[in-house]
Amino acid sequence: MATLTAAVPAPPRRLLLRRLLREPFLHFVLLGAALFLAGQHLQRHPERYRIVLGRAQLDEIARNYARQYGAEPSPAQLRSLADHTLQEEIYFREALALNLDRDDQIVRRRLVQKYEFLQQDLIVPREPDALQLQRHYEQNASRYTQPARRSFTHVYFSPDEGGDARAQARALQALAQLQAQGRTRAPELGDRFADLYDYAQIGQADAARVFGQSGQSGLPQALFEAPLHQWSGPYRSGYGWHLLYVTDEQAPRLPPLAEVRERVHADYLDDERQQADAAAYARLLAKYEVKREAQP
Amino acid sequence: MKKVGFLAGAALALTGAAQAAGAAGVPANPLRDAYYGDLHLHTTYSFDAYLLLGTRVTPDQAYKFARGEPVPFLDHQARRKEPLDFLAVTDHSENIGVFNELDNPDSAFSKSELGRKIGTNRGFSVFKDIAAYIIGGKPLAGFDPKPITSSTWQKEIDAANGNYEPGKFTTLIAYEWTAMPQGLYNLHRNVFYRGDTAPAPYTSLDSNKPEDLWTYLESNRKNGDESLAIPHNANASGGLMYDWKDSYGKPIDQAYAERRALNEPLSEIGQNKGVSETHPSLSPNDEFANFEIFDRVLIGTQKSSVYGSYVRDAYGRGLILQNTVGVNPYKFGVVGATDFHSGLSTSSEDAYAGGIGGIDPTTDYPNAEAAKKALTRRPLGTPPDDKLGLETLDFGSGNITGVWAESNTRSSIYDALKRKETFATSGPRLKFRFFGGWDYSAALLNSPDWVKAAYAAGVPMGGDLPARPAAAKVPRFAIWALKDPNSANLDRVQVVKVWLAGGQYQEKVFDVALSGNRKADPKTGKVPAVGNTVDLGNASYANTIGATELRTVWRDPEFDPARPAVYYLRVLEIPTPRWSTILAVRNHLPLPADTPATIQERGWSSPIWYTPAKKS
Repeated sequence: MATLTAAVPAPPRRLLLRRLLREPFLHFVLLGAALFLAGQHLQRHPERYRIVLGRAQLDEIARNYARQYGAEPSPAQLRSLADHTLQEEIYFREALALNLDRDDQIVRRRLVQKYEFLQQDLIVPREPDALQLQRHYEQNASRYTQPARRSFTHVYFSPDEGGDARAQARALQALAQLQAQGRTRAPELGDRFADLYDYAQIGQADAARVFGQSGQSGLPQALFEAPLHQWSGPYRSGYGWHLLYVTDEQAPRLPPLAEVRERVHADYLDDERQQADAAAYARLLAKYEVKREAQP
Repeated sequence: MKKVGFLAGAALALTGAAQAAGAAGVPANPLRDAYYGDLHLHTTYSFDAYLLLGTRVTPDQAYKFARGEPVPFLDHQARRKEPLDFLAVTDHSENIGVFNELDNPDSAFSKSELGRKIGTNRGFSVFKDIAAYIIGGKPLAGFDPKPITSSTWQKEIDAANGNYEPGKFTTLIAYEWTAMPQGLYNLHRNVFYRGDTAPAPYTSLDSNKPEDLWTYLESNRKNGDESLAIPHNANASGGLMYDWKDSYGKPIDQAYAERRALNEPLSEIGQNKGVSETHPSLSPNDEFANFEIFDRVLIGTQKSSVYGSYVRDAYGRGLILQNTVGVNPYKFGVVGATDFHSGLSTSSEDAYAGGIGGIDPTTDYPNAEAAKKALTRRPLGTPPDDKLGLETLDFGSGNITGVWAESNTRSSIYDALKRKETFATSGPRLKFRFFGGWDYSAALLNSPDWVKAAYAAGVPMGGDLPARPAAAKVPRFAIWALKDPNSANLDRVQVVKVWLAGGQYQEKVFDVALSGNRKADPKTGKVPAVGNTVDLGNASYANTIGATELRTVWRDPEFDPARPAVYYLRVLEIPTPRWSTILAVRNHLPLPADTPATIQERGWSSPIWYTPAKKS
């Protein structure tokens, strides 16, 4: 007897898979594949022209509807959905009878995908134990390291006020003054700057976005080489000359495993899965005799 | 490997959706910051990108490249020097994703009538035939593209949602509607959505009339899918883009004007295939009008009419139409874009080497042989009687859009586009503010809080001057411009004014802020050129002339309260080497003749409009 029960896979064991299972596209693929298999079954049986729409199927249709629209279908809607499913099934059988599934790139791809999902389901990387997680974290430390950050205040000298050389000279003068006075913030000693005078905990990439990073601008690099708690410079940015007073530094930081455990865990599973995929394919490939008549 | 890619895409799509919900947590600056991005980029799913360039870059990779991440390109990794703040991938909606099926000779499309005809042919030889299916409204012979176009559209949505990171990087779901009446005149529009869902895109096969596109957008809007359309390459529209007539040849009426202004609040002013600000023959008194001009149609060698094809002209026509039909259909702001077809959005002169794609100059710079081709003046089409008219030497490097927005989020950036608080540049990240009001004091810009005061007492770019107070004689404009820290110094800031006088419009360019100690000649009004530091021998320049920052409060000296007017800002850099010069020098080739060796990169603001009060 033919039924329309969709192959609902075993409850998902992994987050990624669980997400995928909520994808309507996947439902489409799975339903299509189930119908396909059901169709094959039919072809081998005399009941090609018999269709039973059971309670279970109706319930499934109703559940799908509710999942999608957030409300139960009315009896009339359910009836129409069932009619539609019936029509789909009949067309499907007729299409199979005409071999329309052959040589169809879309069907082919969906089947391949379906196989890939099955394969996915078979390859369930084992949950890492504490030691494996620790090792993965250590071996990939660069992935989790946060770049250095610095906080600073600056005084700006614009080339618009008398030219570039003059701006640099004015900055040098101001530097001597600041060093003598022991001040730690003095934007008013320079010219007006279009952005901020004080920056908190910014990385080199952020500094490059504000001050420029090519041609004349060496400031973003200099910022991370400048001494702490004293005035230094002048340094050239894309806008002019600056004196810097670095108030705080956060060295490149590898957060403790506890802080990034979730990411490390996900990465571990991803890496394992990729390795397992590759191995599974290699095993399959070994079963085939492949003759390459021309090298691509 | 396919599976891994698919899974990653699905996972990304889900994280993206989760992040979109959290956008409210991003801090907002009420005085707004400038964000830079590209609103026009093609990937492998555009028929022409796939067929002409063999582009393999997917939307997901295009977003990653724009964010500054390395992506596979040809046989290596390409990376953008400096990340963008936002990007919208705008693949042609017509048969989107279908031509990629040719990758597989067994696919249904490869086996269709058209697929068999194309076979393994690629490049310009097949482009013209194929173009008919995209721009001519011709359905694909013997092939139903629907399943592929819908699944590709879903991929586009997933890529946009998956790469949206509120506060860091904004994506907009978008596509290009590719209408080209008579297969000749460019009426293309890009469509952008505000939200994280979007209905199936409209195509030129549905209709090639903009009015019908608007009807579609209006019905989407009723269903809660907010979107807007941005026309591009008005320069190649043969005068149809900013015409006096609608698509049916009837004079523009009030209903048309209202719908146009509502659905198309912006226009692209510059991109790869030319700048559409104005043309030297339309603006003979504008000494900077001859900039990256491409005044032919996009396919063919035919000239495109200059009338009705340029933004400045449209602003004037808009004032006339406002007087005659009551509404200004051409009350739009400006954006800049690349329209690149490589999936890689770049906008600097050295990240472009001719053709229709951006590159990573550290890995993709052409060798001498390829450079020679790009620098030879020749129509791209083959054979000789089948010229496509696209001369690579006239192409420009990508342009970009700047928006003034509270935060780098979809809602904030989309709303800035909608209210036209936008500007465009020919590539560099120039930063400029433009406010109009009646009470700004001459010393306004000396105050550290001037932006707050300018917002409080006037309107930013894209706005309408507030009603004129009885005591006010002339409008005042608060103007501020800052150089790109990675680019050249500023030459000057100009205000372009277009106004209505006796049923016609007139235009004038005012130099309002100058670098150095230059003064306009009191007799001619002309300002001496800023100078030129470009060394053509090694394609370099020096920032020893020009200014870092320019600012002023400008009063219109010729204001007449009875005459409607439009004002917009143009900011010029000092001269720098054009891409063609850089390409020639790096390959020890002679500089191409008939092509400017240097250019003055520039920015354009969206306008501020003045409308006289109605007499009661």
